Amino acid sequence: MGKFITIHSFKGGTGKSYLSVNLSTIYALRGKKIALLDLDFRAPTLYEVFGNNSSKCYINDVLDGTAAIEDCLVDCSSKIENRGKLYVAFADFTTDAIREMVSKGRRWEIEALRRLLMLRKKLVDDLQFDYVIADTSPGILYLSINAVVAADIAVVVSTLDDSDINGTERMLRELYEIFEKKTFVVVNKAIGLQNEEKQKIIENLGKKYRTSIIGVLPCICDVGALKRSTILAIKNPNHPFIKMIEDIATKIENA
Amino acid sequence: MESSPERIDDLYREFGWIKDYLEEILSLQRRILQKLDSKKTEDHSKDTELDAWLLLRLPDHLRKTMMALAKLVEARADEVAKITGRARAIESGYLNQLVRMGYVKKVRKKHQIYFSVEEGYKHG
Repeated sequence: MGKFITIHSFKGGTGKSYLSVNLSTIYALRGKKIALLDLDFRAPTLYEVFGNNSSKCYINDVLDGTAAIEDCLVDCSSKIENRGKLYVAFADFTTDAIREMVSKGRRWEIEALRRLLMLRKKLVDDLQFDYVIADTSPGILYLSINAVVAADIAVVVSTLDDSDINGTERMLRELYEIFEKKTFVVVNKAIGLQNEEKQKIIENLGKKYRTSIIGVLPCICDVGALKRSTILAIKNPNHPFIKMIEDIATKIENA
Repeated sequence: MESSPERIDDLYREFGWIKDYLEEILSLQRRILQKLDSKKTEDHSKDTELDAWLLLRLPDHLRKTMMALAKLVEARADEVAKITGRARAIESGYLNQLVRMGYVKKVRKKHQIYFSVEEGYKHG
């Protein structure tokens, strides 16, 4: 049975999209059939990674009820050298579309939630994707929370910034715990940690967040310097950063 | 003292103004009432249409049922019970409660009752 995984965070800039892309790639390379959805309608980024010149429609249209997901999924397996099955549904990245999405009213959000639930069922049950990975907008907007409601597993990405830690803690307690979602936390952009410090952080944050920390990713300059269109899991699969994400992927798989 | 016909003209003019003002007041009142009516409809929709925030405010037992049904989209009570781990009869009660609250639809298919979160409202 397939799983719908949301990648979410309290604040922006935590590295959700980067994690989403590399996680999806790693699963595809492991032989899984993967759908990656760009649900970050405020700041879509997946089109920068995969290019988007063959999409007939956007995921915005699916949530509007004017398109079917089958028409919006783009086979991007060539981007991972055809070594796996990876499909992407892009968000409309034009300024008008972004403005429209952030000003949607409650009525639309209610229907969007229903359509997202049906979308999940379609992708997992009918189209038989092993994993559907949804890259969401940060924060507690409707658009993000709808994706959390639809999720089987939620991965929350946090940095070690105090405001991020406190905000993440509140979000986990006031949303995720109430929804009783299977939730994991990944700490990203952790600067200059030695092994012992890392262990301490995992313990302390684990108690604070009351959930499993399944990875602490360091801040590595050569990773940050890469162009958005480069998928590190393909370019340098033996990079220590990718080895850590592979470990995260395995923990999610075994959940 | 003004002559009577001029005074009468003045009075007609003033009545005319008063009439205009009264019509303006009536028009404003109608607009206010319309806004209040549409707010009532919106408030009503707030109470009977489920969104993520309303889901958070549901009692725990109903939210558990709703989250299970959300996963299945459309299901029988026994199918929801398999996910929640509660008895079928209990889930049936909770699902019917959610139907009465307007959050879930109930449909009959081939002698069986299904509960659904599928849309009832379509965009134009």
